[in-house]
Amino acid sequence: MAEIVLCRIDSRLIHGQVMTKWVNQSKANRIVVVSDSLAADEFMLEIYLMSAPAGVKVECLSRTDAVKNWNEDQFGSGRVLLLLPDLASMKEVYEGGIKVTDIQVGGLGGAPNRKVVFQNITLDDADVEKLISLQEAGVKIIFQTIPEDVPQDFHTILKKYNN
Amino acid sequence: MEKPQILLLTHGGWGKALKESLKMIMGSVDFVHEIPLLPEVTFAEYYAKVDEYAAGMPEKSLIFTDVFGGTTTNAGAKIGRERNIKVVSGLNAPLMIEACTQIQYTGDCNFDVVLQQGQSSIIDVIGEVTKSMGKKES
Repeated sequence: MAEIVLCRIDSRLIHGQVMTKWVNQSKANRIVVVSDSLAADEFMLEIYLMSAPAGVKVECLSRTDAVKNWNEDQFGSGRVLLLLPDLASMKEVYEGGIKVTDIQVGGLGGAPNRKVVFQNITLDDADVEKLISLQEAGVKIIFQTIPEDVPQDFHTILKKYNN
Repeated sequence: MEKPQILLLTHGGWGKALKESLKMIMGSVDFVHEIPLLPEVTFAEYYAKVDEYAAGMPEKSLIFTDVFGGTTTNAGAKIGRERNIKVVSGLNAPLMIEACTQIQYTGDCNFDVVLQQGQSSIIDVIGEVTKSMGKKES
Protein backbone atom coordinates (compact mmCIF):
# COMPACT_ATOMS: atom_id res chain seq x y z
CA MET A 1 0.00 0.00 0.00
CA ALA A 2 1.08 3.55 -0.65
CA GLU A 3 1.89 5.92 2.19
CA ILE A 4 -0.04 9.19 2.19
CA VAL A 5 2.69 11.58 3.31
CA LEU A 6 0.55 14.67 2.92
CA CYS A 7 -3.14 15.23 2.33
CA ARG A 8 -3.71 18.83 1.24
CA ILE A 9 -6.86 20.75 0.41
CA ASP A 10 -5.94 23.45 -2.09
CA SER A 11 -8.33 25.06 -4.55
CA ARG A 12 -5.46 25.66 -6.99
CA LEU A 13 -4.45 21.98 -6.90
CA ILE A 14 -0.95 21.68 -8.41
CA HIS A 15 0.65 25.13 -8.46
CA GLY A 16 3.72 27.07 -7.38
CA GLN A 17 3.49 26.47 -3.62
CA VAL A 18 2.86 22.76 -4.01
CA MET A 19 5.59 22.22 -6.60
CA THR A 20 8.34 24.30 -5.03
CA LYS A 21 7.59 23.60 -1.38
CA TRP A 22 5.32 20.76 -0.43
CA VAL A 23 6.68 18.13 -2.79
CA ASN A 24 10.17 18.63 -1.33
CA GLN A 25 8.97 19.00 2.24
CA SER A 26 6.92 15.81 2.18
CA LYS A 27 9.45 13.88 0.03
CA ALA A 28 6.51 12.63 -2.02
CA ASN A 29 7.25 10.73 -5.22
CA ARG A 30 3.65 10.69 -6.39
CA ILE A 31 0.94 13.32 -6.51
CA VAL A 32 -2.59 12.01 -6.66
CA VAL A 33 -5.06 14.75 -7.57
CA VAL A 34 -8.71 14.06 -6.87
CA SER A 35 -10.82 16.22 -9.17
CA ASP A 36 -13.76 15.28 -11.37
CA SER A 37 -13.38 18.33 -13.59
CA LEU A 38 -9.62 17.92 -14.13
CA ALA A 39 -9.95 14.18 -14.77
CA ALA A 40 -12.37 15.06 -17.57
CA ASP A 41 -10.20 17.80 -19.14
CA GLU A 42 -7.55 16.16 -21.31
CA PHE A 43 -5.67 19.36 -22.18
CA MET A 44 -5.44 20.80 -18.66
CA LEU A 45 -4.56 17.38 -17.28
CA GLU A 46 -1.62 17.18 -19.69
CA ILE A 47 -0.35 20.55 -18.42
CA TYR A 48 -0.45 19.30 -14.84
CA LEU A 49 1.33 16.09 -15.83
CA MET A 50 4.01 18.05 -17.71
CA SER A 51 4.63 20.40 -14.82
CA ALA A 52 5.54 17.60 -12.42
CA PRO A 53 9.07 17.92 -11.03
CA ALA A 54 11.61 15.25 -12.01
CA GLY A 55 11.07 12.02 -10.11
CA VAL A 56 7.46 12.78 -9.21
CA LYS A 57 4.59 10.99 -10.89
CA VAL A 58 1.31 12.88 -11.18
CA GLU A 59 -2.05 11.15 -11.52
CA CYS A 60 -5.55 12.54 -11.54
CA LEU A 61 -8.59 10.58 -10.47
CA SER A 62 -12.28 11.40 -10.23
CA ARG A 63 -13.70 11.16 -6.72
CA THR A 64 -15.33 7.81 -7.55
CA ASP A 65 -12.13 6.37 -9.04
CA ALA A 66 -10.05 7.62 -6.12
CA VAL A 67 -12.26 5.78 -3.66
CA LYS A 68 -12.27 2.68 -5.87
CA ASN A 69 -8.45 2.64 -6.26
CA TRP A 70 -7.95 3.19 -2.57
CA ASN A 71 -10.27 0.39 -1.57
CA GLU A 72 -8.60 -1.96 -4.05
CA ASP A 73 -4.93 -1.55 -3.05
CA GLN A 74 -4.48 1.77 -1.18
CA PHE A 75 -3.10 3.47 -4.33
CA GLY A 76 -0.44 0.78 -4.84
CA SER A 77 2.95 1.95 -3.60
CA GLY A 78 5.11 5.01 -3.09
CA ARG A 79 4.89 8.23 -1.10
CA VAL A 80 1.70 10.00 -2.08
CA LEU A 81 0.82 13.66 -1.82
CA LEU A 82 -2.97 13.55 -1.99
CA LEU A 83 -4.39 16.79 -3.33
CA LEU A 84 -8.06 17.82 -3.31
CA PRO A 85 -9.65 21.12 -4.38
CA ASP A 86 -12.26 21.50 -1.63
CA LEU A 87 -13.68 20.07 1.55
CA ALA A 88 -16.70 18.56 -0.17
CA SER A 89 -14.33 16.26 -2.13
CA MET A 90 -12.37 15.51 1.04
CA LYS A 91 -15.45 14.52 2.99
CA GLU A 92 -16.74 12.37 0.16
CA VAL A 93 -13.54 10.36 -0.32
CA TYR A 94 -13.05 10.05 3.45
CA GLU A 95 -16.51 8.61 3.83
CA GLY A 96 -15.81 6.40 0.83
CA GLY A 97 -12.91 4.79 2.69
CA ILE A 98 -9.80 7.00 2.32
CA LYS A 99 -9.31 7.34 6.07
CA VAL A 100 -6.44 9.81 6.25
CA THR A 101 -5.19 10.66 9.73
CA ASP A 102 -4.13 14.24 8.94
CA ILE A 103 -5.45 16.97 6.66
CA GLN A 104 -3.67 20.17 5.74
CA VAL A 105 -5.92 23.01 4.58
CA GLY A 106 -3.82 25.19 2.27
CA GLY A 107 -6.30 27.36 0.40
CA LEU A 108 -9.99 27.34 -0.35
CA GLY A 109 -10.23 30.44 -2.50
CA GLY A 110 -12.08 33.62 -1.69
CA ALA A 111 -15.58 34.94 -2.11
CA PRO A 112 -17.50 37.81 -0.53
CA ASN A 113 -19.36 35.54 1.90
CA ARG A 114 -16.20 33.81 3.12
CA LYS A 115 -14.21 34.78 6.18
CA VAL A 116 -10.42 34.94 6.25
CA VAL A 117 -9.12 32.79 9.10
CA PHE A 118 -5.38 32.46 8.46
CA GLN A 119 -3.08 33.97 5.81
CA ASN A 120 -5.21 33.71 2.68
CA ILE A 121 -7.32 30.79 3.82
CA THR A 122 -11.04 31.47 4.04
CA LEU A 123 -13.97 29.46 5.39
CA ASP A 124 -17.74 29.56 5.24
CA ASP A 125 -20.36 27.79 7.37
CA ALA A 126 -20.57 24.80 5.02
CA ASP A 127 -16.78 24.30 5.25
CA VAL A 128 -16.83 24.55 9.06
CA GLU A 129 -19.55 21.93 9.24
CA LYS A 130 -17.49 19.53 7.10
CA LEU A 131 -14.34 20.18 9.13
CA ILE A 132 -16.17 19.51 12.40
CA SER A 133 -17.48 16.21 11.10
CA LEU A 134 -13.98 15.20 9.92
CA GLN A 135 -12.53 16.17 13.28
CA GLU A 136 -15.19 14.18 15.11
CA ALA A 137 -14.20 11.20 12.98
CA GLY A 138 -10.70 11.54 14.43
CA VAL A 139 -8.88 13.47 11.69
CA LYS A 140 -6.19 15.93 12.76
CA ILE A 141 -6.74 19.18 10.85
CA ILE A 142 -4.16 21.90 10.39
CA PHE A 143 -4.12 25.14 8.37
CA GLN A 144 -0.88 26.00 6.61
CA THR A 145 -0.14 27.64 3.24
CA ILE A 146 3.65 27.16 3.00
CA PRO A 147 6.10 25.23 5.21
CA GLU A 148 7.40 28.52 6.67
CA ASP A 149 4.01 29.18 8.32
CA VAL A 150 3.46 27.92 11.84
CA PRO A 151 0.64 25.39 11.33
CA GLN A 152 -2.61 26.45 12.99
CA ASP A 153 -4.85 23.83 14.56
CA PHE A 154 -8.56 23.72 13.83
CA HIS A 155 -9.45 24.72 17.39
CA THR A 156 -7.59 28.04 17.00
CA ILE A 157 -9.03 28.62 13.55
CA LEU A 158 -12.57 27.92 14.72
CA LYS A 159 -12.21 30.52 17.47
CA LYS A 160 -11.13 33.07 14.86
CA TYR A 161 -14.00 32.10 12.61
CA ASN A 162 -16.59 32.49 15.35
CA ASN A 163 -15.14 35.78 16.54
CA MET B 1 -4.54 45.28 -38.57
CA GLU B 2 -4.97 46.30 -34.96
CA LYS B 3 -1.70 46.36 -33.03
CA PRO B 4 -1.13 43.09 -31.09
CA GLN B 5 -1.15 43.28 -27.31
CA ILE B 6 0.88 41.49 -24.66
CA LEU B 7 -0.80 40.17 -21.55
CA LEU B 8 1.47 39.39 -18.59
CA LEU B 9 0.38 36.86 -15.96
CA THR B 10 2.66 36.76 -12.93
CA HIS B 11 2.59 35.77 -9.27
CA GLY B 12 2.02 38.91 -7.22
CA GLY B 13 2.23 41.05 -10.34
CA TRP B 14 5.99 41.43 -10.85
CA GLY B 15 5.25 41.75 -14.56
CA LYS B 16 3.99 45.24 -13.80
CA ALA B 17 7.42 46.26 -12.47
CA LEU B 18 8.99 44.73 -15.58
CA LYS B 19 6.65 46.81 -17.75
CA GLU B 20 7.57 49.99 -15.83
CA SER B 21 11.29 49.24 -16.21
CA LEU B 22 10.90 48.58 -19.92
CA LYS B 23 9.48 52.08 -20.35
CA MET B 24 12.93 53.32 -19.31
CA ILE B 25 14.48 51.53 -22.28
CA MET B 26 11.71 51.60 -24.84
CA GLY B 27 9.33 54.45 -24.06
CA SER B 28 5.62 53.84 -24.05
CA VAL B 29 4.49 50.22 -24.10
CA ASP B 30 0.79 50.89 -23.72
CA PHE B 31 -0.02 47.62 -25.49
CA VAL B 32 1.30 45.65 -22.47
CA HIS B 33 -1.22 44.75 -19.78
CA GLU B 34 -0.72 42.85 -16.53
CA ILE B 35 -3.16 40.74 -14.51
CA PRO B 36 -1.47 39.81 -11.21
CA LEU B 37 -2.23 36.52 -9.51
CA LEU B 38 -2.95 37.50 -5.93
CA PRO B 39 -2.67 35.00 -3.06
CA GLU B 40 -6.36 34.79 -2.15
CA VAL B 41 -7.66 34.17 -5.66
CA THR B 42 -8.79 30.73 -6.84
CA PHE B 43 -8.03 29.28 -10.24
CA ALA B 44 -11.64 29.84 -11.36
CA GLU B 45 -11.64 33.49 -10.33
CA TYR B 46 -8.30 34.19 -11.94
CA TYR B 47 -9.36 32.36 -15.08
CA ALA B 48 -12.53 34.47 -15.33
CA LYS B 49 -10.58 37.70 -14.96
CA VAL B 50 -7.96 36.80 -17.55
CA ASP B 51 -10.54 35.42 -19.95
CA GLU B 52 -12.56 38.61 -19.83
CA TYR B 53 -9.51 40.62 -20.83
CA ALA B 54 -8.29 38.13 -23.42
CA ALA B 55 -11.67 38.30 -25.18
CA GLY B 56 -10.82 41.83 -26.33
CA MET B 57 -7.26 41.17 -27.51
CA PRO B 58 -6.54 41.64 -31.24
CA GLU B 59 -5.13 38.96 -33.49
CA LYS B 60 -1.48 37.91 -32.95
CA SER B 61 -1.56 39.11 -29.34
CA LEU B 62 0.52 37.08 -26.89
CA ILE B 63 0.22 35.89 -23.30
CA PHE B 64 3.44 35.72 -21.27
CA THR B 65 3.45 33.86 -17.94
CA ASP B 66 6.11 33.48 -15.28
CA VAL B 67 6.39 29.79 -14.32
CA PHE B 68 5.25 26.58 -15.92
CA GLY B 69 3.37 24.61 -13.28
CA GLY B 70 1.99 27.77 -11.68
CA THR B 71 -1.60 29.00 -11.69
CA THR B 72 -0.65 31.86 -14.01
CA THR B 73 0.39 29.40 -16.72
CA ASN B 74 -2.44 26.98 -16.01
CA ALA B 75 -5.02 29.73 -16.53
CA GLY B 76 -3.15 31.20 -19.51
CA ALA B 77 -2.92 27.80 -21.20
CA LYS B 78 -6.63 27.12 -20.96
CA ILE B 79 -7.53 30.55 -22.31
CA GLY B 80 -4.85 30.53 -25.01
CA ARG B 81 -6.12 27.23 -26.32
CA GLU B 82 -9.75 28.32 -26.29
CA ARG B 83 -9.09 31.73 -27.86
CA ASN B 84 -6.23 30.77 -30.16
CA ILE B 85 -3.66 33.02 -28.46
CA LYS B 86 -0.03 31.89 -28.19
CA VAL B 87 1.22 31.49 -24.63
CA VAL B 88 4.87 31.61 -23.55
CA SER B 89 5.96 30.72 -20.01
CA GLY B 90 9.32 31.75 -18.55
CA LEU B 91 8.80 35.51 -18.89
CA ASN B 92 12.05 37.44 -19.01
CA ALA B 93 13.27 40.89 -20.08
CA PRO B 94 14.84 39.92 -23.45
CA LEU B 95 11.62 38.13 -24.43
CA MET B 96 9.65 41.26 -23.61
CA ILE B 97 12.10 43.55 -25.39
CA GLU B 98 11.91 41.50 -28.58
CA ALA B 99 8.12 41.38 -28.59
CA CYS B 100 7.74 45.07 -27.69
CA THR B 101 10.30 46.16 -30.30
CA GLN B 102 8.46 44.27 -33.01
CA ILE B 103 5.09 45.69 -32.03
CA GLN B 104 6.44 49.24 -31.70
CA TYR B 105 8.23 49.27 -35.06
CA THR B 106 6.07 47.06 -37.25
CA GLY B 107 2.69 46.95 -35.52
CA ASP B 108 3.01 43.20 -35.94
CA CYS B 109 4.52 40.31 -34.01
CA ASN B 110 6.47 37.31 -35.34
CA PHE B 111 5.89 34.63 -32.76
CA ASP B 112 8.72 32.30 -33.78
CA VAL B 113 11.31 35.07 -33.53
CA VAL B 114 9.99 36.21 -30.15
CA LEU B 115 10.08 32.66 -28.79
CA GLN B 116 13.59 32.08 -30.14
CA GLN B 117 14.80 35.30 -28.56
CA GLY B 118 13.36 34.38 -25.18
CA GLN B 119 14.80 30.88 -25.32
CA SER B 120 18.32 31.96 -26.25
CA SER B 121 18.48 34.78 -23.72
CA ILE B 122 19.67 32.82 -20.70
CA ILE B 123 23.44 33.03 -20.86
CA ASP B 124 26.33 31.80 -18.70
CA VAL B 125 28.05 35.18 -19.05
CA ILE B 126 31.60 34.48 -17.78
CA GLY B 127 31.61 31.04 -19.43
CA GLU B 128 30.47 32.32 -22.82
CA VAL B 129 32.78 35.34 -22.81
CA THR B 130 35.78 33.21 -21.82
CA LYS B 131 34.96 30.71 -24.55
CA SER B 132 34.68 33.51 -27.09
CA MET B 133 38.06 34.96 -26.01
CA GLY B 134 39.67 31.52 -26.33
CA LYS B 135 38.44 31.19 -29.91
CA LYS B 136 40.13 34.46 -30.87
CA GLU B 137 43.48 33.45 -29.36
CA SER B 138 43.75 30.13 -31.21
